Amino acid sequence: MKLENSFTVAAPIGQTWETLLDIERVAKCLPGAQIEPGGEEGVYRGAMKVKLGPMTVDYRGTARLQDVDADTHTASIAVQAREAKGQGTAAAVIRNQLESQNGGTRVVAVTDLKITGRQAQFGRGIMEDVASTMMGEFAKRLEAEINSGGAAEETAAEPGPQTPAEEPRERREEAEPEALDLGNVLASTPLVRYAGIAGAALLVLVLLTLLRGRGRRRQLTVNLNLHR
Amino acid sequence: MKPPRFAYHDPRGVDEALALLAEHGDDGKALAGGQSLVPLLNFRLAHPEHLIDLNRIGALAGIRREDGTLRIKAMTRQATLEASPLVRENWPLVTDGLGFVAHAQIRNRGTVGGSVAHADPAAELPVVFSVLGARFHVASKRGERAIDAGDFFVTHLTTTMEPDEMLVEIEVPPVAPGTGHAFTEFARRHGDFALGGAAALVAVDGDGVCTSAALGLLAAAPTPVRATEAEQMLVGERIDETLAARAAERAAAGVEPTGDIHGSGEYRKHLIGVMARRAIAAAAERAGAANGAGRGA
Amino acid sequence: MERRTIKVEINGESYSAEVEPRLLLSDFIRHVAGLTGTHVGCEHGVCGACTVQLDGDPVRSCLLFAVQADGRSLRTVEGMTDGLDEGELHPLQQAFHEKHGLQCGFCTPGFLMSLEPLLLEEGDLSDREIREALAGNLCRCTGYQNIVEAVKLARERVREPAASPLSE
Repeated sequence: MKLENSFTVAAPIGQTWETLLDIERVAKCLPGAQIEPGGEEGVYRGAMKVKLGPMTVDYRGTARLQDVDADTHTASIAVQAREAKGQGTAAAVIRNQLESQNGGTRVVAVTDLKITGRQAQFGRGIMEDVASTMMGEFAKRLEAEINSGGAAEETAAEPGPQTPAEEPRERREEAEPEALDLGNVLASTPLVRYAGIAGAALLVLVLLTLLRGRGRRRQLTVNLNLHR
Repeated sequence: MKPPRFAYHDPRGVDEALALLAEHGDDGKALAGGQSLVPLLNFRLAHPEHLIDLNRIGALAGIRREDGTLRIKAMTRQATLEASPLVRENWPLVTDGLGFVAHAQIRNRGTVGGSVAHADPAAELPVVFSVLGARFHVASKRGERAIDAGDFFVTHLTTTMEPDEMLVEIEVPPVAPGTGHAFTEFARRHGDFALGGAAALVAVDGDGVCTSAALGLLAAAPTPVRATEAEQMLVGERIDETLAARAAERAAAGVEPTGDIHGSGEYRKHLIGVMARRAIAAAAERAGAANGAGRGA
Repeated sequence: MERRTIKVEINGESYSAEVEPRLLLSDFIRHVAGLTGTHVGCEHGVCGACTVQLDGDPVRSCLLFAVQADGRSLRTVEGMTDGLDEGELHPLQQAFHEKHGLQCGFCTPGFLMSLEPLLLEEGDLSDREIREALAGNLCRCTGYQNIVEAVKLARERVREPAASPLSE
């Protein structure tokens, strides 16, 4: 399935581009994600734990930057992930494009997403909504991050329970990252039978791989196996 | 498939259960009837480290009426509630709604509180209790608190309960005598999850004018929906087929169910409108009949 | 995973074993007690093949853990012929047989366990009500019509004074 998300920030394109490559700042927009330092040959390894009600999904995977072009401000990421304990898989190619717009920057992300496994069985139509909402949520937080220039506090405005996703602000150093609790994020998205978290988890994984790493942007054009 | 490993606890009293939840609530799960949770475990969609089985706590089950208010302890089996004459006579919406909950075999184990806490928007009990204006009493080692149904459901499978809290009792206010009720639901096979449904309560005065209306929608959104605009359209009017249809249309217009393999979004939206219309009309008729004949609904 | 020793009574006989808490009751019945009449179809409570009776109520054994049945009393399909003469069938089983209410037989124990309480239900049961009562069990072979007929026949016989007594 194809998803498109976009947002505009007041910052100029150069600053936006640099922010997107500033791992620490962008990673704050993705609670519950974890990436291993290192990353040989531009391949980043990551993990993402997502929670919705009693369900949890643990994804492990790799992502590689491809077609990173600072001149046109585009970057693609190819992600391959599988459930840590299961047969489900997730694959995506996400293409990011920045454009200058009225002194600010428009960020457009087009994602081609493919999920297999139990979660996928339950409702294809829903995954689109879920993934879309996830991207939207991330974009919102990222936008705030870019606009704030690093000064803004993370705002968790969703109603609902105090979730583990909010606590790690303080504990991130010592504790294992908590899960991303979709219960909060998806408060306005219809969900059908226990579905869609795979898509969401993948999206987040995708995003976090773009952002976390060693702080060093890597260019790699090797992997031409784009998965559809 | 078989469930993953977990540490199993079977407390014998509420305090013990709360202590366990305080310790393990974050990576654990309370087990009530198991009719929703165990399938998730068997599919390995859920992997709690700890399972706190509430089924040995006798004090957590029971139905009583106190000062006109219905009090249902959380671990009361759905079958028990369904069979209760007290409930059937005074809160018939509950009895009717329960008839649509899966199958008798499920209701023999499934609990009232478990269904509410599981918070599936296509489930019958969350919508029924929302329409009835129920309050949910939750407890933890830190104390007890009461949450109105309108504030309880956050989204799919998510409530405002903290990980260390559990539902202990459901409080349902009295329904005015003469109130008409109706519960409708559509599923491909009897007992399946609803593709769409509605629950309605309508009260009318001696002239047949609606004095109050409550309309809840199933499978319309991530939580049970109260179609408040539709409700307002009905109050102060005599409810006929036309008004019922208009109110139902308003109710359906207010939701955007997402489609899937079982039904597209447009189909579900249309279906919910039809269910709402039938529920309003049936509840209004019962109210009218009850009022006319001077007996309870 | 900490194992527990449990004792479950099935059809009047006691079965004791040390089990993992995650062992499903359906697996306990089949593999520990050796009673393979109870079948496993979907393992998520939808098909009804695993239905047994817990304290007289039909329940899904695939949605219960064996440890939850510790100290409890179960009835499985094998218990339906308890107390009957050799070769004699429970009235419901007999009716299924006569009305051809089974073909492969995989779903049948679940149906029997679910429908047994229906035999004693008061008043008249319409076809529709019988079908609703069947809704919790799936059959891929018969198309259900003969099962409905079997229920009607069994009810007729059981509620006649001359009928053989139901074994409990």
